[in-house]
Amino acid sequence: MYEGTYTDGASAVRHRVRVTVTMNRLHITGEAGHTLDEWSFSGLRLAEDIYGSDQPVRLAHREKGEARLFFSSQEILDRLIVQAPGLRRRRSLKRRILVQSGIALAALGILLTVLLAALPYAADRLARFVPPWWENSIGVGFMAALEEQFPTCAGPGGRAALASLARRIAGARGDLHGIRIRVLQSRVPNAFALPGGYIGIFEGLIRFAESPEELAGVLAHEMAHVAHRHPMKSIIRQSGYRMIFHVMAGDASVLGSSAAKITETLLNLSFTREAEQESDRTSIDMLNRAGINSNGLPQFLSRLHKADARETSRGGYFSTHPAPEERAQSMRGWVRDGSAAMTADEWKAVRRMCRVAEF
Amino acid sequence: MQTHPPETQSARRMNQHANLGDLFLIHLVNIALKWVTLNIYHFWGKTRIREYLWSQQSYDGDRFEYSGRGMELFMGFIKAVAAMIVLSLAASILLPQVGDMLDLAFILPVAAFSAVGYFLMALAGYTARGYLLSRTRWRSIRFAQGGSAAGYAGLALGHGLLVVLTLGLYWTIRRHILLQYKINNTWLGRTGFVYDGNGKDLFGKFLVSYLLTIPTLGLCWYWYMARDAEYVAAHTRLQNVRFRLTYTGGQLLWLRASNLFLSIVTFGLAYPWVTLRNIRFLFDHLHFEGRLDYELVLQSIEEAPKTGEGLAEIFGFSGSFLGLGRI
Repeated sequence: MYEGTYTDGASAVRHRVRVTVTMNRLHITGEAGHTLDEWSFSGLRLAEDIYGSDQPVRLAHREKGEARLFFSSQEILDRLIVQAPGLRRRRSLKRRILVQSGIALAALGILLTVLLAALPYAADRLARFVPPWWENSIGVGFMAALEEQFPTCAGPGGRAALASLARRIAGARGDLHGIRIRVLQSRVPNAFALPGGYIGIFEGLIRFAESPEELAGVLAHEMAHVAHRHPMKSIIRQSGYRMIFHVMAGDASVLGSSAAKITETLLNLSFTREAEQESDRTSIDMLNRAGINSNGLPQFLSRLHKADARETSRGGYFSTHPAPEERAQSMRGWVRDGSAAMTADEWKAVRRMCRVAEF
Repeated sequence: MQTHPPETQSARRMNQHANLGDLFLIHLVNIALKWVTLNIYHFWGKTRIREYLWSQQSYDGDRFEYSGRGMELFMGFIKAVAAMIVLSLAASILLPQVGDMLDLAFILPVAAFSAVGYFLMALAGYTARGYLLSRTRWRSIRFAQGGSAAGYAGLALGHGLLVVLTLGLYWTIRRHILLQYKINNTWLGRTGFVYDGNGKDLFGKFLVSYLLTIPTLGLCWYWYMARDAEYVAAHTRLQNVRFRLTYTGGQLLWLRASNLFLSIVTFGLAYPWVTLRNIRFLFDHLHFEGRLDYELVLQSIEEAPKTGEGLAEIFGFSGSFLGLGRI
């Protein structure tokens, strides 16, 4: 016989009770000796898990709604665990681990589907809905921040040469006529595209280029990013990832949030890879159509890759443009010979663009 | 000579039985499982922590019970994400067109966006609180929240605008209007909590804090919040029970500062310790006067919500309830 308390689920009155365990049920009697209730073993469960040895036992029953039985001692558990299947399940660690890992795997599957398929799809769709004035304002903001950090190179001849090269590459593509190119003072050999058709080329890249065709290759590549609206898509994707991870790393634990960071970086990288391949293909097509020698981009990539292997420059081209050899290799199948990208005078003017500001 | 407090008085306290080691272990297992599941376990981990904490807190000899499920939180979250996607899609189509039409390209969308965002946050907070209450039991009796989340959010937004227009002076009036809505819609079974406080009573003290903000680097607000908490407790009733909350601004400041320090030096790993300290602080200073007539505390027949807290998860917070911890 076990002493405990009982609440019937209808009122907050607490009854002192004596509980006897029979073959297949709990017999609950009140202080006056009258029967209060009978609970069968099947359907019996712990209201919550037991952690410490001093935690009281609280029992609930599938058919008894919100009624509860309390025991300040855990003695009764030792007896019930043998007979009541519900309690056995709740207390069996092995089974719980099995169930939890099953749930975890299913959850992982759902999450991966969302992250790898649903979210990118939604982001690409959403990018089409972003109106031009909005996208443009984002690009203006980014560009202004960059120009604050890196002065713009203003050599007028160079700007005109780049603009006319861009016009040639764009050809009949109307969506690329609004492109705005800035050359920024920095030794880093890199280039980038922003929402709203802004393209930034760092001075370091122009210095590293050995021919105007190499520069044309890079410019066409960035223009292809703009044509595919990659910058906007990437921003939408990243905010989607960030929202999901932010939500799930709810508590401020460093471990959880760094796991989220790593995953986010990996996901972004895989997107970058796809986007680069897409832009490579398009840029070579555009150059071929414009009749410009399209050997420049693969040439530039393998040269830069070799230089990079010698001295790993942080923040360089390959930190944002992965897998150079692979890319150069696949492009070699598509390239065609053609005319020069610029006249010798134009090329000279572009190379000198930043001198004006330097002295 | 040593005197012992009478039995009844110690019985009418909230008591805390949680063990730091247990809570820490649960926390660590949660972190590990979240790693393995790319954080999806979050919802189940949160549920486990709550189940533990609730079952380790008692009033008048009986422990609380938390009956929420991780799956409920997860489904609530999925629903909220779906709603947010639909909303942002609608916003990305509608807002620019409205802006172009009125030629207020920036101000209007931004203002509308913040208002909607604020409304949703208030809505989320109220809904999360309702879920938490509905999953909390004491002596078999379910807590519950009435009222409407949209009504509450409307109230919060409307009076929030007044706060902006009065440069913050309206803040305390609004706070107690919202408290009235929240507390008067809180139920233990069919027994309702009653709050009759009014921000006007605290306005003098509020004004002093408002003016002292800069000279005291904002620290005066701890003293104000201690007064405010005392006032709220004193004006709250549940049947025959009245509440008394007696901590000073200095004690509150020390709690917050030491918790912040603990969190920083342990990179957030002290979360279980900080949580228990907060709960203990509250229980140490919370007194109950009068006794519930238990015969009259009856179970409510209303249905509880099926899923919970989704929107609140998106905004990164969840309901807090009677100081049982902001979990």
